[in-house]
Amino acid sequence: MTKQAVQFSKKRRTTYRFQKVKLCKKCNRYSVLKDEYCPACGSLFIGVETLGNSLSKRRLFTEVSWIILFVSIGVFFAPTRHTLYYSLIVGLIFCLTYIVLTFVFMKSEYFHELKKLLRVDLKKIKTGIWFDSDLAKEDVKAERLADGYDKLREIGDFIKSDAMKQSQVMVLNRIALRSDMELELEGLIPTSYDKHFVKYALEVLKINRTLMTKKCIVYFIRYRDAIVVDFGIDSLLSVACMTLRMKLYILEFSEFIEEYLDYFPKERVLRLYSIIYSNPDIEWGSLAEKTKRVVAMKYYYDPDFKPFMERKQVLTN
Amino acid sequence: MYSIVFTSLLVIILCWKTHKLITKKRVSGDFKGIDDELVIMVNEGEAID
Repeated sequence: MTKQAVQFSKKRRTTYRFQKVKLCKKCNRYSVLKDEYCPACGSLFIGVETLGNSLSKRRLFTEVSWIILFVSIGVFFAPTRHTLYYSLIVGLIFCLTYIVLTFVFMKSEYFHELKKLLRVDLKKIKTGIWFDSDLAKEDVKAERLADGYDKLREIGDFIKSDAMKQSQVMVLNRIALRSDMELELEGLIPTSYDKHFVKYALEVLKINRTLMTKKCIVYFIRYRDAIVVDFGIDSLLSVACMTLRMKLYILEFSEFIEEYLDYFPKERVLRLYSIIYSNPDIEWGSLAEKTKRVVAMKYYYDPDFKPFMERKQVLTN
Repeated sequence: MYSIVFTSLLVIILCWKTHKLITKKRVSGDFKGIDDELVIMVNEGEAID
């Protein structure tokens, strides 16, 4: 199947995920997508932060109205002129103190309203995400893969299920990936073995090795048997070669590297050998021995390894 | 007498409001907490795929 060449739009970044939640007041539907206008009715979405803010302001306004009413009643029913003035002054001081107090605690009031709003509207938010997910599926079905993936990526910030991750991976596997794309790998790791994810990860490995993090390597090691069956030994070999990217990874996955060391290309063995050689104070365990053995067996007369050999001989003498 | 009752009522309301605000502040948490809670709640129950 030919892969589609697409251009992804930039991912919307917010400090907190809940800032992506917005409401269409006309449809009474929430959404987490990038759209500014509701796809169903065309009206402008209102962010959940704005909603929380207006709720806390409305609450303050209602409270102040009640207080003014209470003070007015107090002033109205004052028996003497003296008590009337007294009630008026005390009432004014009270109103001012009340407003100042509420403003001082405005932030926590806002927190409270926002939390309440999200809790009360949770069902509606879920239904909204469901609707967003349907929109994404429609895009994918209609071969609008970039739009579909864009939507799935936004939903994926909230929904952490394997099914959601798999939907994203399936779309990504139909796209011709490029190094300039804003790709994600660690966030798509499923909880069980998924052939589609491994296929995607191997593709990502070819274009951007930095995305292959510790968690991804652990995933490959955990499901190595299934991966060998589905993708052959070369796939694991490329992951093992990639672990030489960082000293930390070499130490962490030394057993895994050791297992595939015999099949490493020369350039990778050279890298490993030079790292081990230049860090003699680090405890490399049996990896150092095995590397030395491989070098002695395969590359003893290789000119690229000569500088190390010569230095070694000087040191032994 | 009227002034005392009226002032007392206002002071009681003010104390009650301060107490409520302080309690809310104590349990309100932070944005990070709201964020994590939302994700947990959304992922609970029937799965969205």
